[in-house]
Amino acid sequence: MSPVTFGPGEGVELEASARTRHQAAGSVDGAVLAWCRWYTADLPEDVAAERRAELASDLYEEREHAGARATGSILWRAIRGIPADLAWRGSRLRRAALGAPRGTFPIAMPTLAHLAAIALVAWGGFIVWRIARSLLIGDWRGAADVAELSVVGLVLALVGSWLLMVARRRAFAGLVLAVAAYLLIRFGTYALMETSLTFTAYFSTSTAQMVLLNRVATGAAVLFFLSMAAWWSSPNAAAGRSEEASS
Amino acid sequence: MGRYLPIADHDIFLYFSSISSYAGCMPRRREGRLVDLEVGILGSGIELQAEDGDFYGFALAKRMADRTGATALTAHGTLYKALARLAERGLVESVWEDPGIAANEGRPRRRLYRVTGAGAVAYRAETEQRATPAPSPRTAFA
Repeated sequence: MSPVTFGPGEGVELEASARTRHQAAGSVDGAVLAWCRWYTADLPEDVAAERRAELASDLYEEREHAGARATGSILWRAIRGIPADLAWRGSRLRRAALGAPRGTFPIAMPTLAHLAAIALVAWGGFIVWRIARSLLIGDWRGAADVAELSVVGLVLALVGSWLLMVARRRAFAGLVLAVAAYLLIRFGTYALMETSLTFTAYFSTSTAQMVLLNRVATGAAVLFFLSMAAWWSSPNAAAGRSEEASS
Repeated sequence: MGRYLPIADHDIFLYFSSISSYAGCMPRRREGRLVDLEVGILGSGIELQAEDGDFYGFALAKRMADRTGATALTAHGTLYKALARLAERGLVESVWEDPGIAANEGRPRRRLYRVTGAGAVAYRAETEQRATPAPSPRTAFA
């Protein structure tokens, strides 16, 4: 470990220091810092604060050295460093997992949640793409609210996936994703029926089974995300988070 | 300014016991050896430390590029991951700059690094080993 000692409030002070931007800083600097916020979002707070502050200092110093000419170099350095950023993040997560209390599953549970959220976003994206395509070629005959609720579901799925990145917001992310899952699976299936002849034909020949499948899939997905919200709002998972923060 | 911790014997032990979990993203590390990037960091760090007493990330990247004549600076992720690895092995140590200094100059705080005694030993051992020509395979049968 680095011999840096972290006192109370040090992380907050570092975060505040990291917000100092050079007058020549542009959107590239903002994008690089946003990338850093993304890959440090669910790491222990002191580790994340240090990485963000160190990167902010580096960007500032490079701007101070080369001014507006530094833009290309900053972008290229950030792109080339992505594999190392992700490897560093993985090693930090593994370290946090080693010190976590039994039964908190600090890597397995977030991984499972991320995979489920990605699957939901992919399903939502597919549904909305089918609706948009159908509207463009003029063969959409479904109800407007089915299309609207599918779009709302996709937006909620994206918001929930983003919230899932931040450890302390995961319980709320579970609730958002549960609503998204209900909209995208319940109404998305009907939207798909309006845009696919194959699906319509299958639905019309096996209506009872399809309705049952729709309800079961919707219920299972909603239950999964609600369980996820309950898991992260429980004291056990909270203990795991505080353990991460102090490790 | 914070306080640098003293170097302990285990620092040297940590240097000679390589950490294999990083091997996937780096050139394969031989036991107790440093990869090129780490040699560059320690060499540039020792130079900067002799001039200013310590060094920070961007100054280090700039010096490394100047020493090798490279046009591009080391990537952020690569540089700070390697520095973290060297800190874990006790070859560098770091403190955060006094907030007052950074605030007076209107810039973010710098993380100030120093190459430890173990780091200097490791750097010298590595450069000496690299300077020594590898024995010809034929000499093994002579």
